[in-house]
Amino acid sequence: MVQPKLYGYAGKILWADLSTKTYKVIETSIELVKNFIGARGFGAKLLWDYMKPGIDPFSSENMIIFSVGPLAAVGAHSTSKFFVSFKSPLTGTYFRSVGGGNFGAEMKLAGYDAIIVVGKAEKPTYLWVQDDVIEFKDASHVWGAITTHTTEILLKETDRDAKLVTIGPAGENVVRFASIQTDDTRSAGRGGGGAVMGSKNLKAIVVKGTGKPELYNEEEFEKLVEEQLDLYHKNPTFHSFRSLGTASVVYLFYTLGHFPTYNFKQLELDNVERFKPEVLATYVVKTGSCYNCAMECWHFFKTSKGPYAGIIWDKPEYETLWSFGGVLGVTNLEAIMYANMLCDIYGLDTISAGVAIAFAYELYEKGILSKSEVDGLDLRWGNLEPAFELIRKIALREGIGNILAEGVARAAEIIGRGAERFAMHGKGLEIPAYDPRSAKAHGLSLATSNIGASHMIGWNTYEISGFPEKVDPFTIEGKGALAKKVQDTTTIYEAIGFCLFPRTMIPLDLASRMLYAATGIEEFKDIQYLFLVGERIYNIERAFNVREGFTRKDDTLPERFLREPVPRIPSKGQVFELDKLLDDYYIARGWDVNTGIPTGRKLEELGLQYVAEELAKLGRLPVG
Amino acid sequence: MNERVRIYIEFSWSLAQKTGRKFIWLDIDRDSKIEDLFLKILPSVIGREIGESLFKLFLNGEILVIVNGILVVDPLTKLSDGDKIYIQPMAFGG
Ligand code: SF4
Repeated sequence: MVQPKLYGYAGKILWADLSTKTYKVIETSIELVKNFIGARGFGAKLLWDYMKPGIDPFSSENMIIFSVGPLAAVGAHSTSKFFVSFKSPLTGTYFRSVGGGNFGAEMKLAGYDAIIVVGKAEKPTYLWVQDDVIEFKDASHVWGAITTHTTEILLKETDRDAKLVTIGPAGENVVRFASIQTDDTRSAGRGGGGAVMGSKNLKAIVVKGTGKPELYNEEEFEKLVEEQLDLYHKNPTFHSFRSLGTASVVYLFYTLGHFPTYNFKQLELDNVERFKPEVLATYVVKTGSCYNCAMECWHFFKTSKGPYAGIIWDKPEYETLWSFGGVLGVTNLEAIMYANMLCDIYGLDTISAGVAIAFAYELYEKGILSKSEVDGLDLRWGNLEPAFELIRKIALREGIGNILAEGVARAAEIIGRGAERFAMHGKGLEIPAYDPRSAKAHGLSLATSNIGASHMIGWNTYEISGFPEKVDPFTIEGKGALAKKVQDTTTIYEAIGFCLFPRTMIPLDLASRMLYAATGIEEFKDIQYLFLVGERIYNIERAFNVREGFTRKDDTLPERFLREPVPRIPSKGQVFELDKLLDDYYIARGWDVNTGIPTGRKLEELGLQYVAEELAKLGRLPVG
Repeated sequence: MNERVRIYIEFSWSLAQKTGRKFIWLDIDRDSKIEDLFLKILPSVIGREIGESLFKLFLNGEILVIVNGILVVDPLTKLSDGDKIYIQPMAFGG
């Protein structure tokens, strides 16, 4: 059957096998497009279809998929993010990590909605993609190099205008939370995608494209982009974001009872005023943005005094101001900027790296790790100097760094002696800068997320910023349905390929109209249909995990949140009522309450009969 | 005469650039409401136009008003002595 012309999409998927140095180009099918839209949706569906269950994430059978959405590189703003999907070496679950910069758009211009990489190269390799010319090139000369040097050398020998994703020494050394870097300072940080690339001897993918996807209704699309920009400009969030990005919210979130400190022991930090936007803004020397994004939320900070003088680097985001700030009791901004840069050049996720280091600090404080066990470092709260050394040791897997490189969950098992009480993770993913006790639906999302404790899977605007309406963050009634709603809505935006930062300024109705004008696909006009797709994607991601053996027991958070009440206002006295919240969530999702597994009926309702059949064959589908 | 209470208001950096003020201590009538703050009290300091436009943004959920660490959305919320109010555009972390 000849499939109808696809508008908005590149129309092709590149499938590269590193073991055989061969590739094929397949059509982006209309079924895939209609049922999963693109970007995150493509990654989830392709992983479900092609990944063998139970494989080791570091085996050659793991897949790493880079995908973009139908609005990438077609003139819309904030829509050219790339999504990286793989089985995570940190969590063992399905994973999706999101990267910005220009790589996603370039992939699309080169003619690909997705690039799938499988197998393992015999020696360090990089993939050089120029439209439909694909080369497997030797990367031995950049193996071991930091990300910025690799970028410089590979662009010099390919094309200065090409875009790339690369890993640093951490990825090569399969640090389980190694990042994938792009445009030097941007990361698809979470979940260890960089380690999956490293395990495949894949140092980088360099892409240069000269095409342009055709739109269904170009004139209408241009009008909608105008509408999008108009909404941006009218909104104070836009201006606030342009002036300092996520760094502008540290003080606010601290006030709201987030920004945990001292490895989540506390929510209090002396001198927190140093994180106020007016202080941070004094470091800005230039701005930048991802491909075609008027938000322009990149701010390059310059340090001009003290031991860290001379750095000009993209600012630490909210999370990194925390992961090398609050969680270690640190308020020295220049030191945090330096730690951020080190992570980028070694290729480490700043959240996991900071939390792994905070874990070591607390074990040292409690006497569980002695000074000799941490290679003679004096891990005192508030002092970031030893953390710089730990970053290097983790990236190179030296000494204590070799243990921390496993992530806090595995590191706690290796260390023993009760260390697991201080390992702050959900399904193995280090917990980000939010306290689940201070926003229960948000916390529920951290506990149940298909990729482990990620804040971006269900960032709850209702509870945290009262948008589109305020919901009391401390109550537990109705939080299952609320967490589901936010997770599914987020999934829709991510299947389209939107960055989540401007999401509150782009009503779903506008997103739907843009999608239709770009693709001409009738179903995309219907918001209810988009919700169905969002829920479908969420459920297939869940089913991936069920196939890997995950159940309700894995939807949990550290004891610290379940037993210890919050010590300060506004959430003073709150604990996280896990069991009640989980029951409520599974009911709202139509999943089996005992196991947390989607029921056959729910999967059928979402058009996932084939998923239900496979789970049934494996004996994993709940009875009834 | 109405009993007076003292409140503290802080604008986030980007709003402070608009209002021309970063911190303000104000003596207000006891039981004044958030609505009064924007429409009656703040105008004497930052001007009527800015006060009204901030109030509109507040009603649309485009700026956040946090009183003692709690997000407030009801314009009829009463203010009390010693309240610390933080005003900032809608925010998203990541
Ligand atoms: S808002 Fe920032 S991170 Fe998002 S697409 Fe725009 S520039 Fe990139």
